[in-house]
Formats: sequence, structure tokens, C-alpha cells
Amino acid sequence: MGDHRPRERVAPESKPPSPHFGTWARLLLAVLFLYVFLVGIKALERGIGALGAGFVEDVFATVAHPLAGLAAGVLATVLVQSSSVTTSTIVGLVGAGVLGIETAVPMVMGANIGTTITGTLAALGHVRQNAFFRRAFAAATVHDYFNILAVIALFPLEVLFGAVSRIAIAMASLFDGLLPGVSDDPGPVKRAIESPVDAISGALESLGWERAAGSILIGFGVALIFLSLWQVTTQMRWVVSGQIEAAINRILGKGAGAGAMLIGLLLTVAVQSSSITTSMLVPLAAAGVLTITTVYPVALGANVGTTITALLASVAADNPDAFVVAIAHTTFNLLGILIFYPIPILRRTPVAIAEWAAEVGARRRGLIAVYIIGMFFVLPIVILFIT
Amino acid sequence: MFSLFRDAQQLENVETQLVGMLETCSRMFELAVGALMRTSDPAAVADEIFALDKELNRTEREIRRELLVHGSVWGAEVDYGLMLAYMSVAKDVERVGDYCKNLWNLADLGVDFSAGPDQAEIQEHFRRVAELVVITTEVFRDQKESAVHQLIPEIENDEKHYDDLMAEFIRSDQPGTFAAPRAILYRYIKRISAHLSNLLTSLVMPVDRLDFYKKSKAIDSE
Repeated sequence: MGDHRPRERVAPESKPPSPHFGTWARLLLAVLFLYVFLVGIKALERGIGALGAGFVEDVFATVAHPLAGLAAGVLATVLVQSSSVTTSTIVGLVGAGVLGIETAVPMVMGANIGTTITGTLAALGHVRQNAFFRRAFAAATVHDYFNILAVIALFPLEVLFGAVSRIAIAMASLFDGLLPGVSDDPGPVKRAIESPVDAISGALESLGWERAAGSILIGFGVALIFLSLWQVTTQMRWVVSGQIEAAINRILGKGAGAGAMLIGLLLTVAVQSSSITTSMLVPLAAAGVLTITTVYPVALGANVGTTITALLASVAADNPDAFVVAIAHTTFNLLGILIFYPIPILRRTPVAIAEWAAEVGARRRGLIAVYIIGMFFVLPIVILFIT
Repeated sequence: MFSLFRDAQQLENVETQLVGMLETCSRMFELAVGALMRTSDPAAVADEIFALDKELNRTEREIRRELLVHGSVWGAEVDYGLMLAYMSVAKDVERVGDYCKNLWNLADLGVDFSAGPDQAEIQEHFRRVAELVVITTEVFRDQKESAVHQLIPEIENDEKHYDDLMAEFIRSDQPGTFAAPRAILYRYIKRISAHLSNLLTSLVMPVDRLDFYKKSKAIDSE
């Protein structure tokens, strides 16, 4: 509201018509863009397939080391500011056979770390006032530290024993024959996803662009993934904002716990973005209305909720491993909660680190830049170089 | 189904809470007047008046939180002007409640207006303020902008009258036990009227002019 005036008031008897039409239209748009998203995944998969085995081997060699996969996951998510884009692209790459499960799972773990940068950057908006900043930074980075600790706990187990992958494979087997992505029969959903990609491939071939078709399809697929996820998030945020508002007010009334976690999960599933959920809480934490102990379970719920995007992406993939990787994303986040949340001393660890970091950061602002640049850019790049 | 979705944006809950706060003020004023005019024992209504005051304070805090949540969730779509206006209105209503409690405090300290020579005049002032709280509640609830332009000048006249009465008692030669409670009484009811007038400005004035009524600067006169 640029003119800083109260909104135009209307007498109750002359209230404007209900906005339900707009809501339905946006919901329809969200569904449409969800379809576009799946088409994007399929185009990516088809494009990579068209580039041939040499390309696949090159990509695989780059991230073959699990640490490199982890670092690539962090860096890619930081750069696109969306773990949904990264994880669904990973699912697309697995679907195309470029990545195996053992390479993709560390990347998904990295995406979990990378996605926390959005909330951390949102906290910087409160840098003017020390008390506000301390609260905002602690609330934002509790998500960072939880995800980092979860990776510290689970990454070695995954590398040594395939802990996350094995559980994911077992869980995925429960869906054998039920989902389009893991079923032999393509079914109507898959056919609907494949048709536009077939049409584009056919058009490229008829133009005589067979050699460039792979690259064009990859570019087209990535663009569609970006555009569609952005649109799904935008439309769904509009549709469910009232619900989000009511849910946050409920959190305020009832405080931390499983309820807050469930709200974080549901909100993130609705808007398809954990960054939206967690970033919305940062100003409330800065103002002191939400405490770090309330924000924390919401962020954990958001961690699980955001895995819905990769699960959806796996619907478009031909390779059943894509579904396994999507399930591995969910499994990793659930295991993180099971390891850290039930035991009080472990549960408090990310909170204690975040509060300490906020205290230090409030006193020495330069260290915040060191943390953000070091954690999200320098360290992943160094790891990529070394490995 | 979609009443679940978009309606929260309308800030209807906050509006309902503000109207509820005004109704609470109305009850608090009634209790305070009853105690001052000795139609009820001040001690007998103490619990209720303190409970209502706590309820007002709690609702004000709730409104602040809800407005903050609203701003965080809706981001750029937020009607910041309305949010700031409601923040200001909640403070005004909470202050009205405080002055009602202060009036009751006078009665609790032994002030009794039921036996004085000016009993009828004071009773008339009480009637006028009680009526004003009710009218303000209706005008705010139904967003009757035209009524605001009529009401605020009337309230301003009342305020001036209360100021004159207060000054008269401050300067009077009458015993302190007679003059002081009356000076304080007129100060308090003047402040109640002023806060009601302030909250009414949220219906017609731009946000930067909240509490500063001037008909020519009102939104609907431009």
C-alpha cells in the first residue's frame, strides 16, 4: 500500500462478490503447472537420453564420489534457491540413467543443506536491530544446523552401508505396480506427460535437428521445471495463504511440538517449497512472536513436506530408481527427525548451536558473511575440486 | 470449501476482536459508573473489572500477533495501511479500558459522586460517555464513514467542555476531597472520549493522519 491509507471500506451489505472464482482459477493453474512440471522432467530425461552414453559417463564421473555429490547438491540448490528444482532435476537425471541411486542420494542430502540459505538470507533483513537480528538469525539457522547434523549423522552411514538407500528401496518396493513411474504399463497419466515431449522430439527430428535435440530438450526441460515450480508455488501460496495464516496463529496458540511439525509439513506440501514456509517464520521470530523452539519443529516438518516435489517428479520418470531416490529424500528427512528429535539433548543441539551462532553473529557481523559464503559456496566448491 | 482459504485475508477476525474489545470497554465503564455512583459496591465488582481489563490486554496482544502473522504470510499483498490502523485502534481501545479501570480505582479509594450537589450533572456526563462508547462501537463495526464526520466534532466539543471543567476544579477553592476527584474524573472521561475519537479517525483519515482529524484532509473528502 503505497499511499499508507486504510483500505477502502465497504458497508457489510455491499461487500464485494466472493473471491472463490479467482481461487478456483488459481488452483486450476497450479494443477496445470504441475502437469507442465512433469512434462519438464520427461523432456529432461529424454534430452539426456538423446545425448548418448558419453555425456552420461562425463556427468557421472564428475559426481561419482559421494562427497562430490553432496557438494554438488549444496551448490546447485544455493544457485537455484530451490531444493525442489534440484531434487526433481536429480530425479530426472536418475530417470534418464545418468545418476545411480548411490550417487543421487548424497546429492539429495546436499540439496537439504543448500535450501536453508533462503531462510538465513531472510534473517539478514533484520540486521539493523541487534535483538531482532539475534532472534531472526537463530530461528533461520536452526534449520541449517539441523540439516547439517542430519548429514553428518546419515551421510557416513549411507556411504558405508547404504542405510538410506536400502530403506528407500524397501519402501519403494511396496509401491510396485501401483505408481506410473514404477509400473510397466505407462497408463494415461504417463501417456499425457509423454505426448508433448514426443511431439517436440518429432518436430526437432523433422527439422533435421537430431544432433541438437538432446541439448534443446534438456534446456527446455530445465526451463519448464523452473517455470512450473515457480508458478505452482505462487498460485498455491495465493490459494492457501488464509490457511497458512490460520495455521501460524494456531502454532502461536499451542506452541512447539508434533502439531507444529505437522503444520510445517502440510504447508510445505501445499506450496511446494520449504523455503517459503521457513522464510515466513523468520520475521515472526525476529519480532519475538515465535520462539526458536517453535520455529524448529515447523522447519523439520517443512523438510519432510518439500520431498513431495521429488515424489511427484518420479511419476514422470521411466526408471524405477527415480522413485527410489525420491523416497530416499523423504527417508533421509524422516530419519533425521527420528535421530535428533526424540532425545532431548540431541533435540536441543541445533537450537544451542543456532543461538550461539546468532549471539556471535550479532556481535561480529563479518562472521555472518564468512559463514554464508564459506558454508554455502567455498566449502562445496573446495570439496568438488578435491574430489 | 474456499471460505477456508481466502477469508482470513480480510482481517475479519481482527475487526471482530476490536468490536469485542469495545463491548468490553462498555461493560467496564458501566461497572465503574455503578461503583462511583454507589449503585454497586466497588469491592463487589473488583474481580470483574480486573478480569475484563486483563481480557482487553490479552486481546490487544493477540491482535498484534495476528497482524504480524498476516504481514509475514501475505508479503507484498498486505494492506499495510490497514494493519497499522488496526494496531493504533487496538491501542486506543486498550487505553479506554485502562481509564475505565482508573475510574473504578477512584471509587475504590472512597470517591462517591452519588451524594454531591453536582450528582445530576455527573450522571449526565456518564450517560453521554456510555452512549458514546456504544455509538462508536456501532460506527466502527458498520464502517459508517459519514457518521464519523458528525461524531468527531461532537466529541471534540465534549473534550473541550471536560477540559474546562477540569481546569475549574483545579483552580477552585473547594476542599481537595471535593475538587480533586472531580478534576481527575473530567480528565479521565476526556481521555476516554479522545481515544474513541482517535479510533474513529481510522475510518476516514489517511494512516499518517490517524488521531489527527481534519475534515478537509479526510480520504472521502478528496
